[in-house]
Amino acid sequence: MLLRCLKAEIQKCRCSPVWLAFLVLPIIPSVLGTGNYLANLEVLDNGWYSLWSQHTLFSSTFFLPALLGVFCAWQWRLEHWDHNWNSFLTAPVPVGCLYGAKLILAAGISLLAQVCIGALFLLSGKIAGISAPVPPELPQWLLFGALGGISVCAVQLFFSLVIRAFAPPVTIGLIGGILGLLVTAQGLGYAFPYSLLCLGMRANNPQMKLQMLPFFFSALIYTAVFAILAVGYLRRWDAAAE
Amino acid sequence: MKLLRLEFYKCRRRKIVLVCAAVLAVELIWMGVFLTRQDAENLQQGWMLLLYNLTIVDAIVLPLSVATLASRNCELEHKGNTWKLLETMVPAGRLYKAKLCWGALVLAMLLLIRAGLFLVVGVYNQFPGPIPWRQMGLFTFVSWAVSMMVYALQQGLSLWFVNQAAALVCGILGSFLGILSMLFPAWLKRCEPWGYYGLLSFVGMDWEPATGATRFYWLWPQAADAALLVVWAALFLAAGRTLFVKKEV
Repeated sequence: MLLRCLKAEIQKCRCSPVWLAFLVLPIIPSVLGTGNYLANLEVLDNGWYSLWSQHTLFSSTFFLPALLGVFCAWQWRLEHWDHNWNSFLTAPVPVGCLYGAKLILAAGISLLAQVCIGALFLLSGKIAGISAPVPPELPQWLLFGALGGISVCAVQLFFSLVIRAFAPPVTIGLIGGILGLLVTAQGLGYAFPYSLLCLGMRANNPQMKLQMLPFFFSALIYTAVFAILAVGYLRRWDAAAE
Repeated sequence: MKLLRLEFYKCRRRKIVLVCAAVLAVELIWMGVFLTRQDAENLQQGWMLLLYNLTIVDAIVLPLSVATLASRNCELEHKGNTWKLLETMVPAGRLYKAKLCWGALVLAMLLLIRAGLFLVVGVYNQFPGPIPWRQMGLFTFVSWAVSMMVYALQQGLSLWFVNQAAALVCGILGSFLGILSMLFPAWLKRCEPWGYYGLLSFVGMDWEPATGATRFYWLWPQAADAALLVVWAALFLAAGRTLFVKKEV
C-alpha cells in the first residue's frame, strides 16, 4: 500500500521542476565556498577538510532547511489546491501510508541534495587542485547530513500540513536554521531538529566529531514525534472546502 | 487610495502581523544572544557594534521575509482566482501599484518598529555615548529602500508564477547570497540585488589578525551605490509591471 502511495507521489512530481532547485542551487554555495577557499589558502591549509568547511559554512544552516521547507510545502500545496483534500482523504488507503509516502519522498530528496553537494564538493576539489586523496569519511558526512535532513523534513511536513499556505512554512524553515545555529553554538545542538542537519554534515566543526548515539536518538525522536503529530492531525481534521 | 485600503482589507486575516512579529523576534533573539557574548571592550562601541551586526542580520533575514510578505499578498489572488474580476474593474497597472504601496507601508512599519526596539535595547544595555539618531534613522531608511527593491523583484515573481515555490526559492537564494556577499569584494556586491544590505552599511570594521581586536568606525555609503540601488529598483519595477500587465488572465 505504501509503495503504491509512493508511486502516486512520484507521479505527482513527474512534470514539476521542483527537483531542479536541489540540483542547481547547491552549485552556488560550492562555487562561492571554493572561491573563498582559494582566496584564503594561507589560513585554510587542511586540503579537503578546509574545503568542506567552506562548502558547508552557510549552506547547512541557512540554505538547506529552507530548501527542504520548499519541497515539503510544495508537496502539501498539491493537496491544498483544487479541492484535492476530498480525493486525498477519501482514497481507500490509511492516512499513515499517504503521509508515509510524502515523508519517504522528502527523505529521498534530502539524500539527493546531499549527493549533489558531495559531487560538487569532489568536482570543486579537483578544480581547486587538491592533490591529497579524497577523505574516506565523505559518504558518512553526506549520509548523516541526509539523516538530519529527514528530521527537518518531518518538522516541515507537519508545519506545511497545518499552515495552508506556501510562504510561512518556508520562513519557519529559515528561522529554524538560524535558531539551529544559535542552539548549536550553545552546545545544545542534539536537542533541536534543525541543528541535526549541520551536526550531521559536520559543518563549523573543525574536529569533525559527532556523538552517534544522541544524534540517532534525536533524529529518530523528532521524525517519529512529528510524523505521529501529522498523522494524528490528518485523522482528526476534516477536509475544509477551499 | 481605495485600492490600497482594499489590499489591507484583503490581508486582514492573513496573519501578516504574525509574520512581522516572527521577523522581529528572530532579529531580537539573534542580537540578544550576540550581545550577551560580547566583552566589555566591544560593548564600549555599542552603537556601532549594534548597527554593524544588524546589517548582517538584515542581509540574512530580510530577503526571505520580504519574499514571504510579497507572496502572502499576491498568492491570495491566484488562490481565489480573482484576476478576471479585478482587472475588469481597474487597470492592471493600478493594481500593481496598490500592491506595491501595501508592501512599502508594511515594510516601513516593520522597520520603524524594529528601529524603536533596538533603540530600547541600546539604552537598556547602557551603550556609551549619545544615541546616534541620524545614523539610526538613515540605517532604517536604507534597510527600507533595499527591501523595497527586493520587494519589487519578489512581487513580480509572485504575480507572474502561480506556484509560489519560484518566488520563495528566489527569496532563499537572496538570503543566502545576502550573507555570503559580506565576504565579497564591493564590485561583486553591486552585481547582485541582495548585496546592497552590506554595501550601504553605515559602520565599517577593522580587524587585526595579530591581536584579534576589532575597531568599528562610522562611514558613509557612496552616492553612486545609492544610485545603482535606484537603477536596480527601477529595473525590477519596470520588468515586473510589464510582465504583470501583459499577462493573460
